[in-house]
Amino acid sequence: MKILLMGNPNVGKSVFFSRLTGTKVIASNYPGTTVGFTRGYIKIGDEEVEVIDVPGTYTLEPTSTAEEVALLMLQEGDVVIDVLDSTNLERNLYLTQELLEKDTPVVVALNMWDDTRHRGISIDAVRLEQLLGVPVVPTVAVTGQGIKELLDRIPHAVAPSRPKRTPDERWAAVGSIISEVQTITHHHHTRLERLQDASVKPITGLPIAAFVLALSFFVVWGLGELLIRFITEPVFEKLWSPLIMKLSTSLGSGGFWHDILIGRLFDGSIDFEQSMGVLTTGLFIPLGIVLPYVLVFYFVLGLLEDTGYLPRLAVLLDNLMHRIGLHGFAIIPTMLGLGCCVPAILSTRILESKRQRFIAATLISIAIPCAASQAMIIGLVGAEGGQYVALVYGSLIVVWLVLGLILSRVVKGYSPELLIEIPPYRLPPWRMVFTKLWIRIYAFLKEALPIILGAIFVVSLLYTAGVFDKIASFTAPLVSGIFGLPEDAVVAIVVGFLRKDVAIGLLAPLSLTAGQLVVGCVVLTMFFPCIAAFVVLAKELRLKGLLGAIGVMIIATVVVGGLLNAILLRGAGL
Amino acid sequence: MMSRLNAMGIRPGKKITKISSMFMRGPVTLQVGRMQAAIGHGMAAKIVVEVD
Repeated sequence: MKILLMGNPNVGKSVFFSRLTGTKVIASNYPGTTVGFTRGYIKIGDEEVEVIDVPGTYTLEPTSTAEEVALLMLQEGDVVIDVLDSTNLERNLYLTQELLEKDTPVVVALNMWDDTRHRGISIDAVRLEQLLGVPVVPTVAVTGQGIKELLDRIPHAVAPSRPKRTPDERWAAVGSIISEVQTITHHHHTRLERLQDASVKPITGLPIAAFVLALSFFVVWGLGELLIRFITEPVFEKLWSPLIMKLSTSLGSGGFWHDILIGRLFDGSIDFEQSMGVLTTGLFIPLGIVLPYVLVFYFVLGLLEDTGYLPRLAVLLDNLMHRIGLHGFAIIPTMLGLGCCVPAILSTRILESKRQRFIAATLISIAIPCAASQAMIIGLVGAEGGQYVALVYGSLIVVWLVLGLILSRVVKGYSPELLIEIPPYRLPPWRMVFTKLWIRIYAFLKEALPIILGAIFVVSLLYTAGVFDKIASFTAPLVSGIFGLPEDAVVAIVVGFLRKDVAIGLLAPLSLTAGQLVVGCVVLTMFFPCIAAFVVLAKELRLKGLLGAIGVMIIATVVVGGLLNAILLRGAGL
Repeated sequence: MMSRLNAMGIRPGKKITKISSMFMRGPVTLQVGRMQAAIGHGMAAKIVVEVD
């Protein structure tokens, strides 16, 4: 037997699902994440029953791919649990009316039942059951209330198979049901509702957004740093390093396999950031540096999603994002990029069209510096004075905007207009936040880790074969001629392919002028993303998109580096 | 677009309240019944309303 969970977006369907099956599932407020559906199993009596979490849909006359998927799945199900948001009964009943016209038996769950009382809504569930002709059970998925009763009533599910009607006829039916079962007593605006309205109005919403973003940024950055300093670095230095040193000795401290697996030793010991071996730098980058940021970031993002803030942020920033061919939701990947490019590029999946995904991923990999490189930029350039740090950030913001404007003109395809429901603020269900965090981290490890390891392996091979030296001598004239940097800086650019922050660090001993540092940092940020980001980019954009993004990247870097050289070095003589 | 708005409950005869709108033709936030939704300016411009 197959049970389908169906309902509008934002009715707590995914929480419902995880209650029923106990397996882990993603629940969130933005469109896109549930298009890939989830299935789980549950025991009813002696029978093992399959439960499918169908993508949220407003109607069975599909208007989006998610809804097409929903309709296709409906044909395979044996019973439908129609999950409704009790605080928004009228709109939710439209889908119910459509379901009653199909031949699949239906049970209705009046979810979020606990929310109705303090919103001044009272619903006569018994009368609703009589009117609909199918079982109706009030539920609170977050606490589990009513779930058992609902399961008990699944055998009583019936398919009324009402004749097919027009949308207007269905709405009329909904209207007459509502007038019989629902009474709304007036209630005063709560403080929460006032906050809800304030956070979408431009005048109050923009400062709130700036505050929330700044707070999230500092939490991710600070907690990530703490995790690295007190957990991942000590683990690598104290536990992993001795093991690797033993391996190093048994390999004879040198030779081909030593170079590949362990890499170079610095003063007889491993430098996890620079050794470049598969087992040293190869493991340290994804697990020691990227993972802590990713972990904290996903936690904060989960909170923003499950409280209902993200759709509001998308509304506020939609304007700006539209100019560069994206829409409000693209702010999520962009913000992620300030932590680490890998999850940022992965998260461009939430955007609907191919064009949006290409623009977002390209802009992130070019103009958004990750947390690790930002730390280096602030340390190195900041020593010359805050105005130079501002110059680096200013240049990157201008690049992001101008490049976005150009891409949105040039790249073909469509970018749909924003259309989202804005759910009320809710306390995040903690169980969901943590299971979701776990799923995302697991996916990151499963998808990104093997590729990063593989890429490091290939790069180590090339490195040992001396290919990088050839690239360096080949590109040296370009670096000094166009960017106005000394020829030695080319080493940094080549290393930048592996680690951005290390590459920026390599600029330190070159005794550059302040102006050259600014040019160097901007060029290093814009040029090739680090190997981890590069691999994910290749995975998300496919070969054609990747080549396009690289083309844009090279042209943009040369143009911007050249311009900065002309303005700062030749013009202002910095 | 019509069917999409219709299914969300934004349909002829319903009372719509504009909660806010962004400057420079940004998205418009509406309240219909108990639901709030934000829709692009282009779509919002095509909705004809009668003022109370």
